[in-house]
Amino acid sequence: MSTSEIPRVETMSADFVPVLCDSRWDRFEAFLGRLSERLNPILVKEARQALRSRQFTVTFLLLLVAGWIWSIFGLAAYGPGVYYAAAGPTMFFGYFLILAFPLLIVAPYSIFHSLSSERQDRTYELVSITSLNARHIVSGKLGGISLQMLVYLSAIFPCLAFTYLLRGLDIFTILFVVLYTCGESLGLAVLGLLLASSTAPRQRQIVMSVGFAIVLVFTFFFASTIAFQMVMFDFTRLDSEDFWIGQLALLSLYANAFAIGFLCARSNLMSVCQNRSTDVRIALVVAQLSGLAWMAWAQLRWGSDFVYGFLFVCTFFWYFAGMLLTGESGLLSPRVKRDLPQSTLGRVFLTWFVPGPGTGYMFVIANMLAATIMVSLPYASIRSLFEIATVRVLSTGPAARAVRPELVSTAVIATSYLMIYLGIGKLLMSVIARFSEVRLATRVLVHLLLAMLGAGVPWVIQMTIPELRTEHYTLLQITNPFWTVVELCNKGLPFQMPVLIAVLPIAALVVWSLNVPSLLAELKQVRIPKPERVEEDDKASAPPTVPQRTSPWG
Amino acid sequence: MTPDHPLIELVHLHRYFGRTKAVCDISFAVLPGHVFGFIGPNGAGKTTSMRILATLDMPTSGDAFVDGFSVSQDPDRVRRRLGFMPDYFDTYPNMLVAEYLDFFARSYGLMGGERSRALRYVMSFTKLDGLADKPIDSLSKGMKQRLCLGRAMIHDPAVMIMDEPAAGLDPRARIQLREMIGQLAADGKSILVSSHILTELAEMCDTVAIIEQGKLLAVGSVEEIHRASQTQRAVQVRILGDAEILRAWLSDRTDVHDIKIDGDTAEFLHDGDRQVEAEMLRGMVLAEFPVTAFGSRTKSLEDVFMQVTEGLVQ
Repeated sequence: MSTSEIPRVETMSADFVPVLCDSRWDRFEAFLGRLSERLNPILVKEARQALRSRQFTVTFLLLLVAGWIWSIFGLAAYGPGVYYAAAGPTMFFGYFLILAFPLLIVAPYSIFHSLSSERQDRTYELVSITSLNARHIVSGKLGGISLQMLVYLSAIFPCLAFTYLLRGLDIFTILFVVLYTCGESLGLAVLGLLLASSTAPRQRQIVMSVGFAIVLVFTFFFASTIAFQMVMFDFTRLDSEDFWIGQLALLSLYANAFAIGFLCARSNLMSVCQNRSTDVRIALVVAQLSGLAWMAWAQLRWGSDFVYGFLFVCTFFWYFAGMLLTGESGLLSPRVKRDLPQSTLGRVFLTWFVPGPGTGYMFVIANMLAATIMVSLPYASIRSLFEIATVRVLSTGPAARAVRPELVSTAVIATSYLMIYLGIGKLLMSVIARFSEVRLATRVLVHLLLAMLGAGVPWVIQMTIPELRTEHYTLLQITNPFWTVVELCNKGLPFQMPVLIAVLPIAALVVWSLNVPSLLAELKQVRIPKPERVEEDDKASAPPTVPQRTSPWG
Repeated sequence: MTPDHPLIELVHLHRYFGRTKAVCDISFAVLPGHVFGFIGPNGAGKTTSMRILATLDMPTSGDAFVDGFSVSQDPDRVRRRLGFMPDYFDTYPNMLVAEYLDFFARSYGLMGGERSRALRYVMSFTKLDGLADKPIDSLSKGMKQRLCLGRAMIHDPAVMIMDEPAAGLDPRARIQLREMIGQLAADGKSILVSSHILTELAEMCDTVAIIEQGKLLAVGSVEEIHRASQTQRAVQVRILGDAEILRAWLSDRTDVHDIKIDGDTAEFLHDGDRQVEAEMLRGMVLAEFPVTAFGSRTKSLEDVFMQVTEGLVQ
């Protein structure tokens, strides 16, 4: 992220004054000067403001004082025993708590408060009309918080180094705990930015800030528990392959969640005429592919059944994604239409990445179907899949067991639920959109209410009928996706399966077909040419020197 | 873009907030080097129109263009060409004047020597040179307005939009601000400025638009609006002795109304133009009235504003 990426103003000509460098130090200084030019302006501003703020000064001083007090108190408590006792873990955990408070509570909350108050005070408006785009703003804020994090870390670093000199703690455990904490802090900072960018009215920001503060406190205690386990019970097994693979899996999970959070926060800050959806959709697909790869690897390595867990996570992942995507506006701005795919290949494969509730619905279904097929393929040939879906659902013979019919059935039922609930929610939101704008909160509320109705009503009915009250799962719960999917994953529901597999996919197809007209309306939108003035401006700012290749996907 | 091509253009702009029509079918254009005044009572839709132009709000229908770029479809291109000075000035805490301007210069992509030069020029133009190391929070209202102007012009935009720039300033600061705006227009910038201080707008603007309840009531130069709004001209006649002797003569004319006599002076309204006034004076002289002074009073912008608007708010 740098100012070099920001579109330049053409009206002022740049003529840099050459710097005469006498010594290495001068050259280094000139290099630093050039480097500072490339820093994100938001980062520069945040650093200037933060390092001068009372909050930072107080937190930094408290961190130092707490570190000194704990050092004196801890050493006094151990006394001469510190030479032979395993004092390292206890001392380190104390320092961890001192460091974790600013990293996991103060820093993320301050980034939330920073963006939130800028939007309240309308200083954000002045920044938003500069050449900085939403990505610059989000990354600049994150950069600012990373800088604060480094300063806090540097303050407590001598204490952490000191614990390494004590017995009972190795350097890798220290490194891992510190890295995890920094990672958590950045993750929470992204969450803070996402929440602060989600809503502007003061009342909702207050509610958000209270909710976020509660999340931060819980995370602090959770992270402290994890750190305690890591420090006290020999966490690092550097010679174990599984340890490193586990770290890699954790890293990929973190990177995906971070990217989705970052892109969603950026989308919230983008102008309504811009494409705010495609990048998020790409990140969602990457997250699914990454999850699929890890599931496949775990399945192959350990042979245990990870497929159900993956399907379960996939269903909820796409349900939450669908909640947001199916509430998007169906009207594409002319700006977005300028970049619509127009080739046959592009329209077939890339249309689903274009913003819109219909494309969002299809995007979610397609991904869920892809997950279903991917988890089923290793167990079944296409032919046996077809058989399972038609006549051999209840077969318990050896061949059927080999192709795992219960797995395929579960996947089909989970996908059907997704199609039904998201489809009905989308239809409801299209009705709401006729009267008012469908905001983020409305999207979530509509889908949650729908899911609660589907799950809650049959449960209440079953509980109020004395004959059914003592029964476990009954077909009355067919609209309850949670109970049904959990039962399918646990026991397989052999008696209810024929009805479920017959009713749910048909219902899903009916709901899907009800959504087809609006989807077709979205698909009819075609690329429009750039306005003449925009073409002129593009040519003036970047005259093409090399003939451009034509992409079949464009 | 050609020099006669408008840098600011509003085309059938509408903005509704629920049932409230904040802006209703507004169209006008501002040429390079022109200062355009936007006048209207509170809640008339001035700020909404300006916010749309500044890409801070979206029109319900219609569009606005800055240097030919649509504010609703190409806000990023518009922003590079536009400086906006809002009617509020919320500042960042813990920031110095120079740092504030430096931040916005960086945000507009100015680098190295280019940024230093822009900062020097803006500080000098807004007379903030001596305040570079002062915290923004400690600045007076007038100084903050200057800083705000400096921020808006740091990237040398072709278009400047100023919402109530003179509000709350003392007379000296107002005069200085007026001079600055004049200088910016002389540099070829298109300036859209709104103000409640109508006399000032009359002095600095080439064109004014009067807006009420979201609708444009009149557009043109102050003179043009005068002419358009003055269907009746006010005439003042002074004679030797009591002006009461004029009353009967004036009452006989069908185009004369609202006759007021005060000592040696008679004031009245008439429906005609200056030619009619000349004939009227000749008639008075021929009727042997001892006329010592005869003049039609030109209405001020305030008079026109009061006449055109009804003080309605939504």
